Amino acid sequence: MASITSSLKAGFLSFIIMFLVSCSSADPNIISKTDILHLHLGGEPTYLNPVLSTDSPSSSVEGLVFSGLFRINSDMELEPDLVESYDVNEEGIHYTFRLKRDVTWHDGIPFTAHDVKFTFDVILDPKTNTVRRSNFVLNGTAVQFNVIDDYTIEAILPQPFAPFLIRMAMGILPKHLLEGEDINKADFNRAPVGTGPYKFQSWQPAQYVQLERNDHYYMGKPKTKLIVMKIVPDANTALLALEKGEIDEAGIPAKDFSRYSTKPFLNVHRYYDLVYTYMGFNLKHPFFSDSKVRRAIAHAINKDSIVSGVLKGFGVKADIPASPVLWSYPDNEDIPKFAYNPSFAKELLKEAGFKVNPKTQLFEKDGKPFSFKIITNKGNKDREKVAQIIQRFLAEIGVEVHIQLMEWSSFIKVINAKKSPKDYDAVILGWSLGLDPDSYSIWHSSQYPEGFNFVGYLNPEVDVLLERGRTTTGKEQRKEIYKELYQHIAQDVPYLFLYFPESIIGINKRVEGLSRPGPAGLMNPIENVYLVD
Amino acid sequence: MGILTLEKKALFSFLFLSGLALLAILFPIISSSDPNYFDPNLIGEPKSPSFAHLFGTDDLGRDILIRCIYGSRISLMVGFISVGISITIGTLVGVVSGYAGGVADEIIMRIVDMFMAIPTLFLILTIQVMMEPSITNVMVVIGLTSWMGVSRLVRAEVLSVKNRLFITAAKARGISLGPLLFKHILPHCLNPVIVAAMLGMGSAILVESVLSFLGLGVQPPHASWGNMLENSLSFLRQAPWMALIPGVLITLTVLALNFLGDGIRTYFDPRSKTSARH
Amino acid sequence: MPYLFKRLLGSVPLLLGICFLSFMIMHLAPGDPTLMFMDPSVSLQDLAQVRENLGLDKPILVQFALWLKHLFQGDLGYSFVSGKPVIEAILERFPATLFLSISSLILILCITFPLGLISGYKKGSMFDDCVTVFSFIGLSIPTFWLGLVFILFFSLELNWFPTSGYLDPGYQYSQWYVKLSNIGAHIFLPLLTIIVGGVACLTRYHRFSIIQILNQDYIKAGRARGLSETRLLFKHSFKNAAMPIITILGMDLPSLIGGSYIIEFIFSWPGMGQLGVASVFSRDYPILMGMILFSSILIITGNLLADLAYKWVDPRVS
Repeated sequence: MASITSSLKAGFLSFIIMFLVSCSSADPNIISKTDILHLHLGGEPTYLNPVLSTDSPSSSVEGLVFSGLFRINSDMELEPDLVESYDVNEEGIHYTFRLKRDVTWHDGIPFTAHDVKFTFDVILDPKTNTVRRSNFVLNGTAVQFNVIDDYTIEAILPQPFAPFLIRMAMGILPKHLLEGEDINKADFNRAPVGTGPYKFQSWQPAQYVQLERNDHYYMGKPKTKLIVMKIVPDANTALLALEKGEIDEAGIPAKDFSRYSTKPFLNVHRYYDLVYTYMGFNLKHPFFSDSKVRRAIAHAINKDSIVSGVLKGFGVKADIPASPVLWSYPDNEDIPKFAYNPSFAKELLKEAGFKVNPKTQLFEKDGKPFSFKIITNKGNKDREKVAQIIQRFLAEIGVEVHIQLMEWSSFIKVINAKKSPKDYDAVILGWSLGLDPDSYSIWHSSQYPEGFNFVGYLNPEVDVLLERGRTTTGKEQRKEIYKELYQHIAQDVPYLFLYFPESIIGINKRVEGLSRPGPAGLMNPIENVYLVD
Repeated sequence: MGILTLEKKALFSFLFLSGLALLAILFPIISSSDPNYFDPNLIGEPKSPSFAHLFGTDDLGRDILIRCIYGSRISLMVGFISVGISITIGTLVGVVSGYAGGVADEIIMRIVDMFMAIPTLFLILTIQVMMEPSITNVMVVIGLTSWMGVSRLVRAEVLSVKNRLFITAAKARGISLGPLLFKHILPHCLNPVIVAAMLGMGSAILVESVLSFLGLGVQPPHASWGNMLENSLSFLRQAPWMALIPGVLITLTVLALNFLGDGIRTYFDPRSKTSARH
Repeated sequence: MPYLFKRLLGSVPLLLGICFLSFMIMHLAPGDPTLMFMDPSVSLQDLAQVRENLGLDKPILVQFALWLKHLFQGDLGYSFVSGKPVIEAILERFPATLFLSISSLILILCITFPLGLISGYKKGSMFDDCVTVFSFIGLSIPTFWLGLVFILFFSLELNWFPTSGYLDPGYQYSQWYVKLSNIGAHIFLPLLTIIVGGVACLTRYHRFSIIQILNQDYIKAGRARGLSETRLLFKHSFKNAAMPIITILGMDLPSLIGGSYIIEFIFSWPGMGQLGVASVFSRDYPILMGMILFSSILIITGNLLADLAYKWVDPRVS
């Protein structure tokens, strides 16, 4: 017996020694603490190439390494980045961009108009595995890019297109490194070279991406020397890492706001992002094809209690498909609303031909009980909770709801199936919007059954407004168009708009030089951000 | 000698488990409380234990005790049925393969290898993704992906038993194959099978919680111990009671299953009765 | 040796079978890699184009044949999600997984062997009961929960260890022992989580084998002959009790190599488990096929070793 215990002891001893060593070892860095900013990535990036990647961890890195012709400032306005100035002709189809002359790639090669042309050629090449192509194809015709000279490039559009300039914020790729390479498999995607404020240094898979400042950045040398973007997939762990100072920035769930807002070492920022959450009805469903039924459901659900229950008040209820921080958001009195009124909801259902079955206490029509299934994607606790709250609210008026969480790909497979009607009743989802109010792909009737109008919304007036909205360039005119559009949509209730959540971000107090909180980020531009002790 | 004899421990475990099962079955009949009920207009913070809610409420304001009782129906069912599936398949395959030996054994074992080589989590995930997530599917999937270990264990036991004297003697007496397998060989393989079953039941309950963690378990608003634990995760500091009761229940159940298994094993194992050291 | 040769030869069709089966199962799951994102600015024509570029529009059998053809040319393909060569994607995750699983395996064996032995020997004693109760408490706490509690306690409250990660960025080019100690600090919490959950299983199996062996005739005979208990335990029962443990280990080999997804996810451990689960969800077929091939080879080896070990510990096994 003695030998067992002694071997056990030895095992533990060596274990402890191992950790004593690890705890006492000195920091080998000669760099001071205020030189490294620790950011958080919620997952492993895919490609560090703006043309190929679609996930948010990748774009967080790309935003620092690459630059586009334009960039979005903290006031959410487009401002020139690689572009010095630009002109557009009267019809709004011929753009001329004059580029900055003093820009070099991170490897020292000068940046020219050929790089811009190359980037858009790559995007338009069908062999490239990109989903950005259609951004530059209008009604089947590609935008034409022509190099005028080394520092001038023109773009010729087949028709006026309001969101065009925003799409020119696309990160530009270096022609000299990628020409003749298979871009889908290039090593470049894991060791990118850009023109942005930070140079790529290393990427340790599932650990971190390290960036070093670009001393020759054309907009001025960034103040922080190094950025380490740590990959922490679990949100709970990320919060604890923030609390411990291992990362300088992390999102904070609404329910934890009070705990973190009082921490002496944290600044907690709140802002509205360009997203909204909704419940979409399958408009081809026999019950939901009747707008009365949809309105009844809208009246049966108290959005305020969803906002207070799920978001703990960090958000506002939504009535239209636009974010209140966008310029296109109409005045409050122009927005149709459906007040919480369960008895009126029941009235509406009766008007629509439903009767209460005295046995089950459920509404039914033609012998079919009013029972439907809400599907949503797994892994989003907020949506799960919303589904359960809606289930309770509808149970109160006599409508039965089932909930099904689905894994993302299977979920998308159901709502994007190329058939009509599709196999679902209702869906809880969120849209994150771009800076431009154009929402053609969500509402236009041509986007059903193939497209993101998966609810099957069809309103000819809305179709016309959508087309006019994206081809009109004047901001004031567009605002009018979108106001009308939102009113139509709100009245039709194809979606039950639920809420705009607030983003809550905790940032360590040692980080200074932050911009105004907003959807364009708190560290915008990154070159102003610096660290103090 | 411990605090309790083996028989007493088994008895207590049996009483605990049957009490739990009884409660799970009877409670919905005698009580009208709905485990999924909450007032959607009054959602606040999770409330700590009080007289109204003995074990507190969760983040939507639902009573944790009632949810735990309803959750035990699902968790116990997941445990029993999935292990039933895996033990049945595993034992059959193991006995046949071990006893047959030769080429048949070789082929069967290679097929088992094949199933084992495909990572379990991948199998479970893919199957769960393929079918609509539901309680039945959770049970079937866990059962169908966990029999391979049992079959190898049983086979190993059969191999070490089949050439022993008493088997040869039984064969010499002309006992036919069926009784030989089930009366003489199988009882000697019961040890690892019972251990595997008891551990498996516990682990099935836990696998369900992992599936809930991945969003592929029992669907909301229904409660299982696993998804209650998973749900408590982000309230760990704010509302620790949300984790306590389901956690304690899982632990007690797994312990009780194990002690019970121990008891059953001793009862069936012809040798341990004569054991000098008891 | 002919036995070994036969087994190795037999594994080739086995491997092909596994690959074929997995390929089919994988493609039965709805969706494909292009469905991962849904953003109103993405067009479905682009998705269709990408699908065509990746060869996903071809019939499944053709896709499998192409995969097989490339495999025989030594090419496992490229990840659909990151464009990385599959070999590279798997190998870069391998060290972290191996490090964690081997250290946890060694520690678990060191803990369970004596525990199982003593519990089995003193069956029904207070010691036995305590071991049972504590190991089962460990077993019945889900790892995702335990992991978070450990981070909260050891990392946040006591500030002994980092919350998560593998190797701090500053140590990338340090001496190997400095690196090792930094990884050591990071490995402690995941290791502890695995051990707490993993001790029960092996202790139980080991305890039962000891009980069973102590009841065998030859041990009883030995006892009757007046051999010392310690001698009996070590000389006779140790080797025999190893049998089921070998089986379990053989079975566990792929999970040791495949890594534990939950642990890796909670502690941001850069291992294979995370890659595997992410690939299931994103339908990254080439990575999945690579990982399945890899783990099949390992399990076949593991089972082979287990069978060889049986022969060694128990000559009666023919």
